[in-house]
Amino acid sequence: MPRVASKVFTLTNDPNSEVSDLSKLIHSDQSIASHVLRIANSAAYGGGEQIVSLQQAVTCLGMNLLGEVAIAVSVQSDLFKAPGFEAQITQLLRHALASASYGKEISRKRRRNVEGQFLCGLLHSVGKPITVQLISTITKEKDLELDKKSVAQLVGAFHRKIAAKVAVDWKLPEQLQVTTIYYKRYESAPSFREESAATYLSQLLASWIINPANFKVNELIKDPVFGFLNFYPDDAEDLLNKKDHVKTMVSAMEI
Amino acid sequence: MNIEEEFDLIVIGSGPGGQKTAIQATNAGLKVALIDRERKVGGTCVHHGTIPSKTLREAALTITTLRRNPDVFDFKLKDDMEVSTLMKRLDSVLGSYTDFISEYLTSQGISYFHGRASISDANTVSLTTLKGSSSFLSAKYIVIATGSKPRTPSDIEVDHENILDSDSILSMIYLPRSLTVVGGGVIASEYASIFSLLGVKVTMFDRTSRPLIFMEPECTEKFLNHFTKNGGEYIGEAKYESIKWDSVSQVITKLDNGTVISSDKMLVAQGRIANTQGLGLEDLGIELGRNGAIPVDDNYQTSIEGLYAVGDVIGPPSLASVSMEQGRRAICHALGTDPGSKFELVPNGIYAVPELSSVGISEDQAREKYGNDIIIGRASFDEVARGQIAGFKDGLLKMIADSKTLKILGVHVVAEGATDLIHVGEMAILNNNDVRVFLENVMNFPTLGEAYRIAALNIITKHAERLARKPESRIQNLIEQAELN
Repeated sequence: MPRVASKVFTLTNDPNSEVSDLSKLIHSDQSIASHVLRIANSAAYGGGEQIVSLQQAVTCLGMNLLGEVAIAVSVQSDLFKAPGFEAQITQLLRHALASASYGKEISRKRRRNVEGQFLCGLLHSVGKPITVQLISTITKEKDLELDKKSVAQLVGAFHRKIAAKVAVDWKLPEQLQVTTIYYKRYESAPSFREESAATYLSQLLASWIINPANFKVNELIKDPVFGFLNFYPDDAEDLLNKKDHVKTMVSAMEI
Repeated sequence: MNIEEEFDLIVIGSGPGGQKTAIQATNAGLKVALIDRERKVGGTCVHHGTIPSKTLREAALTITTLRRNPDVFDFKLKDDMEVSTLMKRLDSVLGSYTDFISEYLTSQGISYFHGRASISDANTVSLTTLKGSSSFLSAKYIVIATGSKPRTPSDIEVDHENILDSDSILSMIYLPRSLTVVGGGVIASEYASIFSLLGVKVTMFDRTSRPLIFMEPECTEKFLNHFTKNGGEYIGEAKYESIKWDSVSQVITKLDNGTVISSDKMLVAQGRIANTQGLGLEDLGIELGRNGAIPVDDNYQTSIEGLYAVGDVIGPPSLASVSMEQGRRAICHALGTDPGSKFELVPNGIYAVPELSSVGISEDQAREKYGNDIIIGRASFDEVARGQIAGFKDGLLKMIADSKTLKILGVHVVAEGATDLIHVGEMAILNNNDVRVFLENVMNFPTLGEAYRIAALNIITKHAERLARKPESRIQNLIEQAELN
């Protein structure tokens, strides 16, 4: 049984465990989150109310049903199985979680929907672990060996197309579909343009806190997305100053 | 200091007050600059307040009407349709409204600047752009119209996720199952009744015994009945001891009366504070008042000559309608033109479900001023044909008149359409009319305006009874007086 599935199973069968633990688990992983949304909105589980937020899923489904969904997700999902690429998967999930957490701070500052932006950040790169998983499967089947650089190039080339397909095929909420497809081109998003821009900014800031050596702060702060979201220089500084807070949130949420 | 451009007037803030001020000034031939920190014009009124909440209200009413009449309309809502539908409508309303305002301001020759303004002196404004570069604009007059923002008590952690304020409440992407509303004022009552109408279990609490305490008790009673009938609950005379999100799914509120409320979301509506941060007013020696309000004189001029302030930033009544008029009057004063007689009457409009509106004095104020020399006329909307047709049967129009002259002193309405209907009463009071104006003239039938005729007739009948009455003992007099009123 995958590690996450095992954790969900333990949680849902432990009378002393709390919904908060399960909630935290679901919020902490993009693959679980996306599948929870997909299954919670399926005919089998959907109670007529569209689930567009993880918080809403926790509230509406309750501990038992949510546990059931989470176990189903974690057992069935292949996303956790990418032998030989565990480190990359962990890194990608950490980045997604950091994007989600930074997305919350961006939305708070703009007084826009915090829950929705969390999900946009968490799922914007859902195509990446899927691509890695596909690479893992194919390299195993073909008995190939790929170096890190090649893997990174393949992920870079395919993850957005895969994410776009997943968002549509899994019938993720419209906001997630749009932001996942358009966050890099937020200005041309057909709708949810500001949410797409916030998603772009959240993943940019996530990259910065994960790999600070790759960024110069004074260059980062000049990114046009700050202006697009009407952030003045001091607003941008405020956001950058949330770095440690976001890191703490990410550490607390990592499985 | 390099002045980039000179104007006759600089207006800071592009909400209703700022817009009206700028337009009034351009009409008078002034060269005007309008500055806003947001890219789009409109201010809080357009983006977070009046327009969005009223749009949501209209959408909720439409959906509710359709939902309640499935046989008539052969209509069924998709289960997942509500919020996305409401929000799409909101976006389109905001988009078209801001585009219209922008185009109109441009067509009037007003120069729009996007940036943060700080007042350097009575004639100079420093403008900081998004990129952080600064420049200076100068003008003979400056008007501050920066509005207000929600006030958050220090012991409530508004995270805009689970505990929201009136700015972030409209960003919700789904309808919560339950909502606790802290406050009993205008914003609290409006949102509480709108969400209740949409099927959300709403609990509203406040220190006051009833919501909208400043309105006529009979009207708020009707409002409360309606709210309760829609599943809402009001807990009066209650204060919170603690408000916390449980880190899972519920906001837990403990009240001082022992009640514990658990809800998916919370709206904190505890008044508003003026947007004065960063304007540099302290350096100009302007001391701010309650909730950060800028003190002004009767002409909306601050303690500095040529520097005016209008709208929410000077404090109550915090109505867009009043802000616009204040802007017009500020310009008239600056230019030395006559703004007309000082306005005394300000109609109150509350866009709850149902609407409440009032103009003139209340029954309590009338009794204080006239003793028992007043007559109250009432029109229940089940007597009004149009009310019956439209299904507004539980509305009420209450008219207060001087019993000697029959002059109208105040009108109070609770019903759909109240905020429009009130203007008939406002004009009658402004024209010093007595209630017979509604009997001796013809009004359309069937209309909600017929309520005025019914209330006026009620007053005339009571008046006639008083005149026909034989002198009685003092006690008998008091008893009858009470019955007649």
